[in-house]
Amino acid sequence: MSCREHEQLQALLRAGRELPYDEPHSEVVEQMRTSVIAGMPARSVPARSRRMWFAIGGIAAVAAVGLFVVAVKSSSSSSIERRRHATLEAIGPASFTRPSDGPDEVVRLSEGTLHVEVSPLSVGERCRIIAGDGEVEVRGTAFDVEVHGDHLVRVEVDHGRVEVRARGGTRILSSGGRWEVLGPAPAVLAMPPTRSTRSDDATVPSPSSGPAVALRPAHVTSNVIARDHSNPAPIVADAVREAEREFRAGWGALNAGDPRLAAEAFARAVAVDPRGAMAEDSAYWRAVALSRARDVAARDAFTSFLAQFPRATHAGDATIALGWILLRSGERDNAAARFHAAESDSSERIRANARAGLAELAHAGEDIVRLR
Amino acid sequence: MMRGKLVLLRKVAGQLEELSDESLVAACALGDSAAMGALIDRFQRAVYRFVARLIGSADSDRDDLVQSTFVEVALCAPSFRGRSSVKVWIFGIAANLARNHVRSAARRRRFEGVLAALPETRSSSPARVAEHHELMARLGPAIADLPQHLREAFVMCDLEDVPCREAAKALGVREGTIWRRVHEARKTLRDVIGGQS
Repeated sequence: MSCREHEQLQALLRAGRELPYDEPHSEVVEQMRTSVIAGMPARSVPARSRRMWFAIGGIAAVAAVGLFVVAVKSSSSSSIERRRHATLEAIGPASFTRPSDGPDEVVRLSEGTLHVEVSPLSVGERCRIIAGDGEVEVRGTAFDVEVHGDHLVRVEVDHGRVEVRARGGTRILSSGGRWEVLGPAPAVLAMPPTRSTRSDDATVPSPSSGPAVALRPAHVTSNVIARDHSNPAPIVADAVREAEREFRAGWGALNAGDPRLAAEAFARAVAVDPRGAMAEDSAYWRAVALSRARDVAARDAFTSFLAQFPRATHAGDATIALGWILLRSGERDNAAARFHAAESDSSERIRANARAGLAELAHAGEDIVRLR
Repeated sequence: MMRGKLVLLRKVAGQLEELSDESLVAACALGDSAAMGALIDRFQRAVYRFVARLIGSADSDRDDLVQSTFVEVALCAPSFRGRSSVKVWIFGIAANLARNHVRSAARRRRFEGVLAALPETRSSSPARVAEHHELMARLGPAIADLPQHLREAFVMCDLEDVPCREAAKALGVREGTIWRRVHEARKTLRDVIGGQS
């Protein structure tokens, strides 16, 4: 390689390293982090591995005793610190899990109310209560948090400070502060969509980040005894349970790659409890499932979902998905209307997708003009 | 009325930040979500940048791809054997996920559009600034036009400074193949940029 070529290459590499990229917004990173952690697979050490560890542990214990005899001074431990700061009390029936201990302690609450008391956190330690559509970050405090249908609906602080992140906003609550959803709670049982690696599925949300935390009644959790208040939460009706069962069946089918089966299950979930908390989500995911199955009914499913739930959490995603379906079927004006509607969405992801759709429409328009 | 208090089941001393990357992955393999959080905190910037360079900075699917990458990291942690550094292993996962993503011509067009908007550079002389600016304006679309396998090798080895040996392991190809791809990518870029000047 000549000197000039070498210089040229160095300039090229320098320019390549300086190519710009948009740093993600901190909220986007936070949302991603929360979703990944909440959806982590629960693992236990397999029996064979446990036996191996017991053997190693035995050897280590013998060695440790030997070392203790030899060394008078004890050394400090370097293992991981896993302190739990949160003391939980379920008020009535509650479904939650604790996917992680400190220093990043997470409680995943799917349904019900918890009274949470948190001992002061050290630098770098966190404690969060996560629902499907929001989270409460604790700063060392006592408070109540209420979730319905996996939606954060109320946070009430006894003392201390918490940070509530929900509905795209953030609020700090101090002693006596209260955050509450007014009106009926929306019904989203999903974490933000994660993957869409197939190019033609880019606008269709994926279920892979769905409810990975199994519902578990408080009275069977290993570390909490439920507190039975004088006014306990109402027992869940059969229809709601049936709707939830069908929803989960649909979710399972969608994750297993059977969108047709999923669409049927979601349709049943809507049918058994059309006014329930699961109806909105079921209708949305039915449309997604139909779309994944390349079923022409997806168009109508998204249309009717948007007509029925215009203020739904998934309205932006549904609008975009419908826009792309209309674009592919040649309904350019209708597609443009949907993309324009999504341009003002609060989510940058939706707005970017809307702009991409409009750009695609413009390109398609140029191609048509060229053909003429 | 029943009353209950949480019973703390385990208390172990130590700090998560002190752990090596490999230890964090090992903890993730056992389902430790705190370790996963630490791993994300440690690598999310690098992964965002890497994915942005592979598929385009403003692509709305970039965030989904990054999230998918870390989901895969959590799933694949038990299979991590330490044959490459953790960062390169994560890059390999991201590259695999991104591979199917950049095939659409529409996405490539958007990528080019984004890369056309360039920032100020650090060069001092106005002539050099203009030259550098021009080079970057050409380079963005030229990288976007590279075949995926060449782009992966170029971004990983030349832009992210990953040694070719490690990149080969992460991408599951032989080291010689990576060298050849990097060489081919450089040559293509030089030809494209040289041909335009």
